[in-house]
Amino acid sequence: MALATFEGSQTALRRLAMVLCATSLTVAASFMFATVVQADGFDWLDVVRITLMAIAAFWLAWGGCIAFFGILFPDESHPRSGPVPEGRTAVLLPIYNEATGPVFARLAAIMRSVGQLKAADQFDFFVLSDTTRLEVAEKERQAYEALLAQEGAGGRLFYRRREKNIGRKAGNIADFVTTSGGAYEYMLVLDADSLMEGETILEMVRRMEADPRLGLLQSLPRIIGLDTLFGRLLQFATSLYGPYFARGLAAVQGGEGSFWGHNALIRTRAFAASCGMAPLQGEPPFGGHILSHDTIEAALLARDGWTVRLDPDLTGSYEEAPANMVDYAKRDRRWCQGNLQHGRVLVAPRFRFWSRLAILQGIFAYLASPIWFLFLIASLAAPLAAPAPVYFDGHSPFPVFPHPETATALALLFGLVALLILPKLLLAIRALADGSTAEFGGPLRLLVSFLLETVLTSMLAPLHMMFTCRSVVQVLTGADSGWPAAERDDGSLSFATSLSATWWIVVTGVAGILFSNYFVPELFYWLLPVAVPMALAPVLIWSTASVSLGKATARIGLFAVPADQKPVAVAAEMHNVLNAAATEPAPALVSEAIA
Amino acid sequence: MTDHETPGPDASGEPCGHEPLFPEIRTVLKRPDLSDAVLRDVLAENRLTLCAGLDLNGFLSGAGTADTRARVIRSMVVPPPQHGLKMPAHDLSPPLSVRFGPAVAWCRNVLEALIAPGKRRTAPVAAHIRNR
Repeated sequence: MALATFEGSQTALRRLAMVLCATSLTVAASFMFATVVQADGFDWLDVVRITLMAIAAFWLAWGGCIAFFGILFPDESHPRSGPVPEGRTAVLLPIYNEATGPVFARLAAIMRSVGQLKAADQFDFFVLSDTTRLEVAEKERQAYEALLAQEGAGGRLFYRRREKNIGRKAGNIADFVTTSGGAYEYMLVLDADSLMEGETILEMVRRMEADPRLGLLQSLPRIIGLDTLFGRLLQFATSLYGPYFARGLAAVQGGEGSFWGHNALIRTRAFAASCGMAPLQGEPPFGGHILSHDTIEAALLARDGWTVRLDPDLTGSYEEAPANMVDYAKRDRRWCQGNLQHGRVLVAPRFRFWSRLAILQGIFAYLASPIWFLFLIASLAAPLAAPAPVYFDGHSPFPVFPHPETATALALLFGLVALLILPKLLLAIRALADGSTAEFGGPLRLLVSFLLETVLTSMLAPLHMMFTCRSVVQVLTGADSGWPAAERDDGSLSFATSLSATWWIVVTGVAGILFSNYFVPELFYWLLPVAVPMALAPVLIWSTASVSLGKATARIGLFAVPADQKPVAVAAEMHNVLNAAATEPAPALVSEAIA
Repeated sequence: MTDHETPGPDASGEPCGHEPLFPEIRTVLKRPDLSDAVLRDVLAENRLTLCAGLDLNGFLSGAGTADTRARVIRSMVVPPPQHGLKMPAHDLSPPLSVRFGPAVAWCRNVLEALIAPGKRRTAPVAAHIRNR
């Protein structure tokens, strides 16, 4: 009890420090910006710009503070040993029209990894299919029967398919809970692209058994298995910076942590009692079933007094990610709708303050882009709307020139860039200092990778902003103009696909350059870092989706990650299963039904 | 609705002749919850993956080593444990009257507590007493 109170007050202090830190940075940035914009007079457009800048700066400062906290607070890793757990665990794999082969290969790899544990009998596996395409459903059934026979997993491996995917993934999990949930103390929720090592799963169960108030334990999934340049960038960033960001997040959120929807262990009875969600009144996009259910489920558990915790030391947890920017934007479009829908539940009864903040953070992850875009437009329009300078105010015979604020503007720009880059730079320096560069290809390769990653992500950032703006507009207007279909399994894109996905970004970028050149030449060079990548969007997207470029960086050791040096066992097993399925015929002789 | 219907009791309830296998199946699968009716359905509806040297009749008549028989049994598709939990649906966007209900009740209590001391505590004097 005393320990819980101490931890609670410690978390409260950290939160207070973080809010103060982010607020101070925001106030400083807003003050500097106000100083800059009032140099040519003060009008209503300046108020809009300062407000937009303040909101966007707070968002940046918040992210920067999370990273700083991750560097400040030590790694709280626990030894991985303990008794064999008593409670049974259901490993849940919800799927929806996925590629059957890889999904079942991942499951086979996880089952084999769990099968090596002493406590293997405590785990059952459920494939919860919401697949709507009948041909995919038939493949799933065949793959299930083959895996069952191969692993001898009768009574431990189950497959069921819902014909109507009511409530999507949340409804799928709820269906399991209401039919079989009572037979299991815990359930491990996976995604179709999840991979987890048996030891990690066992450790999660041990931690949950050791803390009877722990309702949800989130592991830290690491991105693996991508070959494109974009994919390798993502892998590098999540491997080098991800653990520190997660540590910072865990330090401030305490027992009201996050649920990322997968690779997490949940106490089944707590989930059943707390996490049922009635559909929201009204029509989509803001009504109907709650789409991004994970954040809300975490808030519901915390509301009922359950601890929701992110343990960043829980490695051995993996996921795949979109291999190119277009697929990334498609996924973001789905998440955007779900997160904006959370505006309806932000003021739900009895939610904890930090849960509301986490929901607000999720909403702002998508609103930040339109805010930056509006800020850019307002900044381009401001010089046109500004009053003409008054050189003779009538009090002095000499002309009075406006005070140039270039130094302040540069300081502000430097500050904002520092908020984005400094945490990453500190993390790279830390890796260089503590000698952990071997996992990232050595000091020189790490440094070059860091610089290249910073340059490339800075160039991709305006495209991300534009895609997110489009998603927000589509959600708010209920429109969806569609996406080009995925062409290749390896994640690469043709130039035509890249162009068809980004032509409107090119038009916006070129229009911005022309506008500033003719009407606000004083902002021309300031706009280029944003407008040039937009004008080059198809080239950037096509080249970062290239597998050959990705493999070339791998050959010379750039964007190296620990998984390159020491292959992930469970991922290697998954590839073995896939290769075996491709080369070997089905080994089993299947008899006729016993009628 | 799922493809795996909840296996209810066999409509006919008649023995199928494979009943001697049932305890063995329950033991191998560590599923004592599987009833005779469920196992009858399992054997009727599903296929068995047989090993070399053990045909269907042999399996049904109890032939084969324990290990070989266990392998066949472990290839059976059996239903998951049927033990559902109730999952009440929480309304996250209730009407304003519900949302502010507790606040309104609290205000009412506070008001009553404030007004109560100001109220006249003595009972009004009846007219016939006052006129005495």
